[in-house]
Amino acid sequence: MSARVSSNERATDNFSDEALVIRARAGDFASFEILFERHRLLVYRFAYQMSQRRDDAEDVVQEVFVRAYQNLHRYRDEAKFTTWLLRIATNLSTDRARMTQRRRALEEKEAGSGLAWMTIGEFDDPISNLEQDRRKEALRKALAALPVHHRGVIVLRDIEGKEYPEIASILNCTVGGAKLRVLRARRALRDRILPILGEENYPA
Amino acid sequence: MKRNDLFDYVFDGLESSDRAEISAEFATEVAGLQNLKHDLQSLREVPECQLSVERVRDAILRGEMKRRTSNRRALWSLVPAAAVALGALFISTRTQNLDSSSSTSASRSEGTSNLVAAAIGIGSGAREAATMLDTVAPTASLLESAVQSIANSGSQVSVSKSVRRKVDRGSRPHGSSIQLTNLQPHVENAPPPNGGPSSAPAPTTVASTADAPNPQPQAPVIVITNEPAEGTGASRAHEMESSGNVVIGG
Repeated sequence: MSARVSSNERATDNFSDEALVIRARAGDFASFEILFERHRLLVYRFAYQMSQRRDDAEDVVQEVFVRAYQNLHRYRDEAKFTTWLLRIATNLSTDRARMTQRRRALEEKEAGSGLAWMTIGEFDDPISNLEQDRRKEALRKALAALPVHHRGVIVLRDIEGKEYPEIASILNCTVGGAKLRVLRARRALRDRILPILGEENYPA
Repeated sequence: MKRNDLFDYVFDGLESSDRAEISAEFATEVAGLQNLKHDLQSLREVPECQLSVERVRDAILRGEMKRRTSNRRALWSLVPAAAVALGALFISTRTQNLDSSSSTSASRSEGTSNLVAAAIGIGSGAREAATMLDTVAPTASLLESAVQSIANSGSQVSVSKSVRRKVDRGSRPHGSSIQLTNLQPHVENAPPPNGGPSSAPAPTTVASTADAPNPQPQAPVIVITNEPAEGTGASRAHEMESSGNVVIGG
């Protein structure tokens, strides 16, 4: 029994992120493919929340994994592999957001503020679903309009649910600093969303 | 309780001792923030990711190829710089060779050991030259004084120049630039005997002793005539008190 447990543990160890990274460093691309399949959704969700566009998010994910592969020798085991990936993703998304700021402003102006009327929501009442969709859409816009450093911490903490120490590690700051950033970002988001939806939904 | 703490209370689920007070005082704010939190969590739904592993593999391969190409390009960009450096080295070497061929420190370009050997050679040559000049110097000074006495009589003399040139040529070691200071006691501010021909001024000789500021006391002049002596049949010599009575030449 104990032998079986230890062999299971060894098998788990063999497929841990760290073990796969070591094998990928040695040139085993299959190990890196496993890492990609394991973590691509995490990176994609973050990139999508940052860019709000699927193609942009996929480009970011691709670039993140290309850079990760090219810099595997720089990865140190003291941080989790996902933390390291999200750090790369944060930097890339920040750079990209700055570059595409003008393009997004233009697109939003052209698209106007139309809402999708045909919606599938979590409530049986279509009115409630519509109301929820309206709020969600407004929230997306408010989030997209936030400065990129505020957007990043909101995504990490309130959408992805990361703990403060991990956020601090991703942002390369202290835990207290991470908490402060999150607080400022939440306030900025609330201030932006109030004019859109009114105080009945998000009272000050 | 501060208003800012409401965010912690709602979003991070911190335990608060005065929950009842918050509910009463900030009921609407708490409800709004709870709505915000709920809506943010609903944003987790994202469209499906269609990025395939093949695409990532291609991108990695492209990146590797680009990196190798850029490395190769960087190497090629070094070629002109290397050529320029080689050219500069060649030109500087050539200039040094030209300099050394025209100066006494010719062996400068042939390396430090050659330079040291040449310096030793020049030093020993200079010592020999100084010894020779010590023996020649009295003769030269005698000649000088004789010529000077003749020059005082007002005639143009170029003997000193030619004599000095001969002495210079005979005593100076080949290729050295040693100044004949022993023969030039009257030359003021003579340069030290360490420079090459380019740095040392040409030795000034007394071309015409008529320009000499302090003429030396006149020595007796002996004139040898062609007429034979009666007893011996040899040429007759006359001692003249003043060179003004002597006519050289025809």
